[in-house]
Amino acid sequence: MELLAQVNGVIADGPMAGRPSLTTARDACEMILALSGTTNGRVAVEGFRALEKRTGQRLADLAEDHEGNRITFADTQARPVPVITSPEWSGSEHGGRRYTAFAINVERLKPWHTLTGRQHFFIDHDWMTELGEQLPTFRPPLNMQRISQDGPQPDGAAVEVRYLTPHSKWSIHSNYQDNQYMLSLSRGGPDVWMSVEDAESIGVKDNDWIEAYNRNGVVVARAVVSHRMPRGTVYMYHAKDRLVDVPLSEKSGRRGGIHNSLTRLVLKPTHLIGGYAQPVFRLQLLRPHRKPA
Amino acid sequence: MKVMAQVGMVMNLDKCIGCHTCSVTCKQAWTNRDGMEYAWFNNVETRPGLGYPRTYQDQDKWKGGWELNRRGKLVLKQGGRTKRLLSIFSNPVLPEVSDYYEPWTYDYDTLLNSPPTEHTPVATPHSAISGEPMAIRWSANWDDDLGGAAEYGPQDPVIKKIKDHVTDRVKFEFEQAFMFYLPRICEHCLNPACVASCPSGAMYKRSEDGIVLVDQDACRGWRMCVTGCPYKKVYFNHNTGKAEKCTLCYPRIEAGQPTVCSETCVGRLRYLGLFLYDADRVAAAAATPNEKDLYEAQARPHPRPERPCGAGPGPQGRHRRGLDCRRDQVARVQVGEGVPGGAAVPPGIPHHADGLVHPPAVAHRRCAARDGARCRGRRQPLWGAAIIAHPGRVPRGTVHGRRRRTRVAQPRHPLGHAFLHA
Repeated sequence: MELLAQVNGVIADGPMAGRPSLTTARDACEMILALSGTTNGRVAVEGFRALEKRTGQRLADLAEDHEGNRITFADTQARPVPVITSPEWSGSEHGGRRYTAFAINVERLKPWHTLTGRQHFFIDHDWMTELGEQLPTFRPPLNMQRISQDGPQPDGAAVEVRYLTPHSKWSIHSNYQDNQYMLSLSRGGPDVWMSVEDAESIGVKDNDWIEAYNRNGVVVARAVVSHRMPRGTVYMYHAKDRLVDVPLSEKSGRRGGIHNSLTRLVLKPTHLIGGYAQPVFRLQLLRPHRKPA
Repeated sequence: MKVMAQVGMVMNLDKCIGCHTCSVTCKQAWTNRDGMEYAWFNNVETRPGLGYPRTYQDQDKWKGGWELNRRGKLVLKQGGRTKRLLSIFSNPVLPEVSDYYEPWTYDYDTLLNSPPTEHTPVATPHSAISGEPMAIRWSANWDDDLGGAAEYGPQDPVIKKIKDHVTDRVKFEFEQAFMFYLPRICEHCLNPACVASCPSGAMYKRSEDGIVLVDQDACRGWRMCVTGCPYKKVYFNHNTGKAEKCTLCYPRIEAGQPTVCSETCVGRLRYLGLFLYDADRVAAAAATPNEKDLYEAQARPHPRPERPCGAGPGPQGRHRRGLDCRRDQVARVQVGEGVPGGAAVPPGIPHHADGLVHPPAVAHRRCAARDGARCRGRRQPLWGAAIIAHPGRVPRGTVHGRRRRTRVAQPRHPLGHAFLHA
């Protein structure tokens, strides 16, 4: 806090007098960087020491050589900075190695955040038992049209499909693929993969412009017609920008959205489980989630 | 008997994931220049598919490679000297830019400097050739992952042949879908049709390592090589008016480094190494009458380890085989005696997953040159010569735009001629 106060300055008066200022976005960034173990070595080491007491395993050495280090906002502006290994994450980047999830659990025998401390699929939560989902189970796709009351609208040819947004082979996380080389090696703009049968049913040929819509929004893209797609399912791969070669939507008259413009969360009771074994309920992630340290 | 060395690359297609890292890094290293926008020295195709340029494998159409004439003699498929001379000012079988694809760029400036608008700005494609706005209709890899394959797949020359001669069961349907990735670079052929078809003598196969290059000073832009190459891996630079092609990254090979495509390969599927072959046997193998025997025939110029090496009885009175035999022969090649009948054995250069070239430890016997010091001996060790450029052994003025004399790449590792990377 003292450090943050030095960096950001303190609030002069009022109920928050003497506390570090968070008035600007930059102040907020400094706050996050100061409080996270990945950017403040002291926090990381303290976290690991606390974890050592709980687990009986030696862990603090993963961050001790960075105990005095702190990454500030200015550092991140100057260049990409590798983070410090911290108990907030399960992998280790100690000594310059690449991050792999669960490295600390496997190598340092830190128990997993499950009831048994081991990896397991089985969850004996009452709600899971009631719904028959204690183990992973196949559930057929929902009839989204019936649920959402969405359907093909009578203007122009349309086909109703299941819309999936898988990870593309050319991008990882936020690393988008819309650079000129990769676009020259693909279709040069946003595209939606569809089956030959679905394309035929609406008179679409490979590379024709199409619009995908539901009541959430509309996406404009070119069709990639391929027999590798099954009838009734379309793909729009992750992280296609709408900044490159895409016209306005005829449907809305406005700029269409990205792949996520059509996706939506469908809640079911098991998503609300929290505070038991590994499932955590958080407002941002309405789903069972690995519990952070 | 004329034993030659060739730097070769083996690609394990089972490992290719079609990520195109090789293509992108190659392009950044070699063809990110004006006039070469459409050229990819390295590309990765999805098969079945049309390939790049489209249907390049259809030699009835593109006239690449070799064929046998009525007397059983090996001639260029594009025609003999007279025919080529008569068509020199208007080569009828050249792929056009539309057969590759019309390269484009985007007006990114719109994204950065757009004034406030009602709708978010969009960068539109512009032809890299004319600068005009264009609609994208084909790319360097349009049918990636079977995209559009129901439409284009049946035009794949290989699929056509299979359908005509083998089976009509190849269907472009979901349940029958199959595909694989085919990464392609210049093959640096043992009997390169591009070299044979060059009217200017500008193309050559380096004697020390078999890399096929274009002498930029001598090239006159006739483009016969583009037609001659059955893989369409010689490209015409529309800016300089000269042919360019994959160089197997020879400046890197000379310095003991792998090619860019090998080094950056995510699947680590490219293996680089040296092999020996008998240059005197290449033409005969290529002139095999029945093309179905070609696969076997192409192994013939390569000395085989299972054959007796002709080195005479070994210590136990038996012919020495395998490694022992090879060591004998290598030693003799080094001191200039040539390899006896039965030929040498592939050197079996150890390669590692890093894709680096690992020449076998060949001591520089005559001069013991170290640390890249200039060799004063009269003879060079064969493999050392293939990996490390010696003064005077690299042809002058090699490739790519700049007119320059090739500098001798100095080995970077202190061991010089031996292992360059452990």
